[in-house]
Amino acid sequence: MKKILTQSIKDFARELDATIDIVSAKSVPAELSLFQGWLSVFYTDIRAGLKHLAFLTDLDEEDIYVDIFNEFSSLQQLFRLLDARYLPGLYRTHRNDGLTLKLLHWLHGAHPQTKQKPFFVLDGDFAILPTVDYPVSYYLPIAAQQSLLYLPLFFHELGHYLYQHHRAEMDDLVREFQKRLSGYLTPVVRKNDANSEAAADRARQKVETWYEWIQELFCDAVGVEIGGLTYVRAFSYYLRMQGRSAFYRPEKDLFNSSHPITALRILFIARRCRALGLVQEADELEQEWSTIATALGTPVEYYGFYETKWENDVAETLDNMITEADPIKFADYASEPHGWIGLIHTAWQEFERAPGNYNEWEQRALASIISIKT
Amino acid sequence: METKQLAIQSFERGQSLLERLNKLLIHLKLTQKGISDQQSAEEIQAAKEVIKAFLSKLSTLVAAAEQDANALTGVDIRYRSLVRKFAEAKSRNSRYRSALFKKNPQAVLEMLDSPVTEDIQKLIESLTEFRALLEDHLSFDTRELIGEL
Repeated sequence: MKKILTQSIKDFARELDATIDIVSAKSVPAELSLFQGWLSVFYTDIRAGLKHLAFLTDLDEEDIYVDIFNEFSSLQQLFRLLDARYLPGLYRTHRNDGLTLKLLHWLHGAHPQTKQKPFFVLDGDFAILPTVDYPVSYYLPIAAQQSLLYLPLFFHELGHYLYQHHRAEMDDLVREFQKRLSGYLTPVVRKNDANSEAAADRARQKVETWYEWIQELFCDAVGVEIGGLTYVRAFSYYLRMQGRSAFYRPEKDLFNSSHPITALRILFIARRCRALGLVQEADELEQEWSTIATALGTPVEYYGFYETKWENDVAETLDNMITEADPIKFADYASEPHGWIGLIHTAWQEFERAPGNYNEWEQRALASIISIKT
Repeated sequence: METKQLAIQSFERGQSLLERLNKLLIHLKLTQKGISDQQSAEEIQAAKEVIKAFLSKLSTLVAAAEQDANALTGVDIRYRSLVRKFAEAKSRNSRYRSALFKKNPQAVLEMLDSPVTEDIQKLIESLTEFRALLEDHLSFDTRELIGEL
């Protein structure tokens, strides 16, 4: 076993040294410098851990070989995770990332929780890997990387990081909400028969599913707080044509699902818009979604995963979560014509006013952003 | 929350714990033989604190899960899965035989600071089994994030 450990440590060290060289040699945009620095330190820490394992192996204590093996395996998995999901954000960086990197640089800089948080972007559907100890990775479709319109969807993704940053407090708020739900869903008198047990099990699963759902609704709330109308437009355009599943999903698909039905998200987005003074925008949003629902003939059925009488409980929890996370408010930025929110707001106005001319307008706007904005 | 998002959070949580478990197990085994592992007392204490906090939260959730009608609240789906695996392991005799699974986890938490040789031995057994359970759990997240050859 000692021979296997020693050989593997040497091989891993060789691979690590090569990676450390790649990271330090790479020339990257200024927005990625925090990320580059983080990677260098992290790989160097893994290298130090490996050196310690070499020392432990040389002690010739056979009963710790299993622990050395486990620690080696743990370090290697970490290295492979970085290789697969993080290093490409540095190594494959492209000039087309410029717009996204600048927006995210502004967004991170505007929040104390993310000011010093390394981040990077990769290709994919809109998503985030919101970790506390590692850099934040943002994903977005290739076509969206060249447009202003859908960038507000990142405000939602930032919400996932804010949740993680305030995780202990957020989990407490969600737990309190889930306990209220549990009170609504659990039968007062329980019988000891199979039907009652199955009903109790379904109630339990519904309560647990809301852990994931409330976080998505919170992220939408963050999106509206930061982006105002820009988030509403981006969200609605991006999701409203996705088909019947935006309005209805079979009961079995709802258990342990990651997202609430989109129509339910619309309800809480509209409610937040009204609270923030975007009354007309909220009315239009609901009208739009109601028109599509009517055209598709989809039933309004949540199978007990949501009841109208819970609306205030959900809204109150979301308000408390927003207070905890304290995202920036669109109203503080919308009046800056050259700021991001003002610019994206104008972009949506231009698109809706004259869709045929939009690309030309956007190209001019993007050219000045890439050269000016930092 | 997307599957990969849940996987990375579970991976981050689990890897951090695994690192501490490995560090402490090596320390306990070498210290018994009077060999230095070149880890500072602060590092070992920090590892113990992380393990204590995790096991303490886990045992509270496992107690809730053992009352089968109770929902596990305030934790994500991957954490809920770990809690249920732990509860299942406690009720199984074949694979998990250490004090952590057969007695109250609180007793094992107290062993973390015990200087008694018998306690240290039981602690090593418990942490070794817990590490195995955790690794089995994390293999799903690793596959989700890194894939397989």
